[in-house]
Amino acid sequence: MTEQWLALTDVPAGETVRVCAIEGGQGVQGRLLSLGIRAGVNVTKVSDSFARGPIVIRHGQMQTALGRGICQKILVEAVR
Amino acid sequence: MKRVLLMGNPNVGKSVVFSRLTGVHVTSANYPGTTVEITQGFMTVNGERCLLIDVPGTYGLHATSKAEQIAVEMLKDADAVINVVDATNLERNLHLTLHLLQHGIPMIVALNIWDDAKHKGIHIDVERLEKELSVPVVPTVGITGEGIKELVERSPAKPPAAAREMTEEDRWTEVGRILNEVQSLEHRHHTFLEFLGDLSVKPATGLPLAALVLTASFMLIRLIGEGLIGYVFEPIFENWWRPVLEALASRMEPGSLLYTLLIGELVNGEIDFIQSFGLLSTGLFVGFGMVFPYVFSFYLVLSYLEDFGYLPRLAVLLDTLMHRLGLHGWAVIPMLLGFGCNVPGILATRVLENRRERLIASTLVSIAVPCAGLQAMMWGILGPFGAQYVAMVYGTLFVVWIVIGRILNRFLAGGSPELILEIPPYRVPPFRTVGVKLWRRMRGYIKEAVPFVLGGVLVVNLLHFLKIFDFMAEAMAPVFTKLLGLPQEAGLAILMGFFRKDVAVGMLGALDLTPYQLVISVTVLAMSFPCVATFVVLAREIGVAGLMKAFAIMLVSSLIVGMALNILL
Repeated sequence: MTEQWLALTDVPAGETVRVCAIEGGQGVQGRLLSLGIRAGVNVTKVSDSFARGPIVIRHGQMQTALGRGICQKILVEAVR
Repeated sequence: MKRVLLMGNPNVGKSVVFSRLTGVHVTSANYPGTTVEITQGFMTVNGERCLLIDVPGTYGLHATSKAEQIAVEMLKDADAVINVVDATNLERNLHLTLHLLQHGIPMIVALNIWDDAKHKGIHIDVERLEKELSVPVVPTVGITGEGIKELVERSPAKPPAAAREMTEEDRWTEVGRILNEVQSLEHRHHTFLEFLGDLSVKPATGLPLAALVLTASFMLIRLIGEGLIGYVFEPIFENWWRPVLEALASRMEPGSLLYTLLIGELVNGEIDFIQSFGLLSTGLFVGFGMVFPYVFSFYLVLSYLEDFGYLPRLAVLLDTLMHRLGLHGWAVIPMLLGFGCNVPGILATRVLENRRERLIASTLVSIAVPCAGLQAMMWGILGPFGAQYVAMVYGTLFVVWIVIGRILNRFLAGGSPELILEIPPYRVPPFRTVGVKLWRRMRGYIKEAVPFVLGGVLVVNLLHFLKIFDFMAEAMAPVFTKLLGLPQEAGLAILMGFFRKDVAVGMLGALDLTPYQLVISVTVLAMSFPCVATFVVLAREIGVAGLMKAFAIMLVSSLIVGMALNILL
C-alpha cells in the first residue's frame, strides 16, 4: 500500500485526497492535529506552491496554509 | 472576585463578544491571533461582579505555543469558562470544547457567528448539542449583540458532570459523532466571496490581486489623507485658527520667551504653520493638520482589510520572500501595523513563534518601516518638490529592509519555522465594527501621540531659547557636514526624532534644504533611532540586550546609507 502514498506536495491543485500518515516531529504533528489535520481525514488542495511557498488546503469548513516543508511530510492517497 | 475566562479558537469573534459583555472595546480583526495582549474587564453575572479575561485564542490545550501555555496556566485558577465557538466551523471548534469540558469548570458555550452559519446553509440542532455536551449552548451574533443577554443569564454556577479522559484521537472521533447528530449541511454553490478567496491565494491570480490591493490601498490612503488636509484641516487652520492666533500674537511681546514658545518665529512677517515652530502654530498644525488625516486614512483602510480577512492571504503570498529574511509570511502583520505606528507593529511580533523571529521583525520594523506621522510629514515637505524624491526615500528603506533582514537571517543562529496559518473566509465587515475600531485607534493617537508632538515642539523651543542647540550642533557638525553633506542644524532635527519623527521632519522643513539633502536627512531620520515610545516598547519586548543590538544596527546602517546617498545623489 505504501507505494501508492504521495506527499501532499505532489498532488495537483483542486484534487481531494485522504491523509494516510504524517511524518515528522511531535511539534508539527501536534499543531496539525489541533487543527484537525490527521490520518483519515479528507483534504482538498486549493492552491499549489509557488516559488517554494505555502500550499493552501481545505478540510471540513476551514482553510489552512501550510509551509511546503510540512506538506512534504503529509502522506496522502487518492480518494476512491 | 470570581474569574471568568473567555476562551475559544483564534478568529471566532471572541474579542467582539468580550466587548459586548464588558463594554470595553478591544481590538479585533478577521485574522487569527489578534489578542496579543491579555485584556480583562468586568461583567455582572447573577448580581455578582466578575472579572472577565479574554484569553488568547487556542486550537488546543497542549502548550505547544505561547498562547496555549498562557491558556493552560490561566485555567488553573478559573471559576468559570465562556467558550466561544464559531458556528460556521463547528468541527474544529468542538475539539477545544471537549478538551475544556475535562477540566470540570462551570462552562457555557456561545455559538457565535450564528447568522453566517444560517446564510451558509449550516443547520445546528442547539438543544441536541446541549444534551451532548451537558452544558448550556446559546446562539450569539457578536457584532449585533444577539444572544449576549441570554449568555449572561444562563451562565451556570455548577461544573458539568466529569467527562471521561480522552486521547486527542478519541476527541476527534467524538467530535465526528456529535457533528453527525447535530449538524446538517445544505448543499449549495460557491459564493462570490469564496470564489474571490480562492483566487487571492492561487499564485497566478493572487499575486496580481495583491499588487492591485496594495496599490489601491496606498492610493486610497493618499487620496483620503490629502483630501482631508486640503478640504478640511487646512481651511480650518487658515480661516479659523489663524485670526485667533494673530489676535493672540498682537498682545504679546515678539521675541519674549512666551511668544517664542507659543507662536514661534514669523516668516516674512506672518505666522507660518510649518516653519514658525511655536506650540500653538506648528505644534497643533503638525499634530492635527498634517499627521492626523493620514493616521485616520491609514487605519480606515487597514481596519477594513483586516476585518475583510485579506491579510492572511497576503501572508501566504509573501511567505517565500519573508523566509529569506528569517521570518515567515505571518510577519506581514507587524510590518503593516508598523506603517501606522511602530509601537503596535512591535507589539504584534508576539504572533510569531520564537525569539529569533521577534528580534528580526522588531528590528526591521523600527529601522525600515516609516510610521504614518513620518510619512505624512515627508509627503507634506518633500512632496511639493516632486513624488520622485518621496519614492527615493521609500525605495531606499525597502532595500534596507531586505538587506538587513538577509544579514540578520544569515548571522543569527536558528532558522525560520514553517507557516501553519488558518485562512478565514472573507466577510464583508459591518460599517459599525470598522468604525468602532477606527475610533479606538484615533482616540489612542490623540491621547498618546499628540502630547508627544506638543512636548517635542516645546523641547525644541526651550533648547533653542537656552542656546543649548547651538552647542550641540557644533559638537556634531563633522558627522553631518562631512559624511552626510547636511548643514549642522539637520543633525539637531535628526536627534529630535527621538521625541517624535514627525516633529523632526517639521524641523527639517524649516531649514531650506535642497530636495536631495531632504531625501538624505529624512532617510537617516527614519532609520537612525526609534522615537521614545518605540524605544520603551522595544526594551520591553526584546529585552535590553536585544534593544542594544537593534540600536547598534540602526546607528551603523543609517550612517552607511546616509553616506552612500550623499555620494550617489
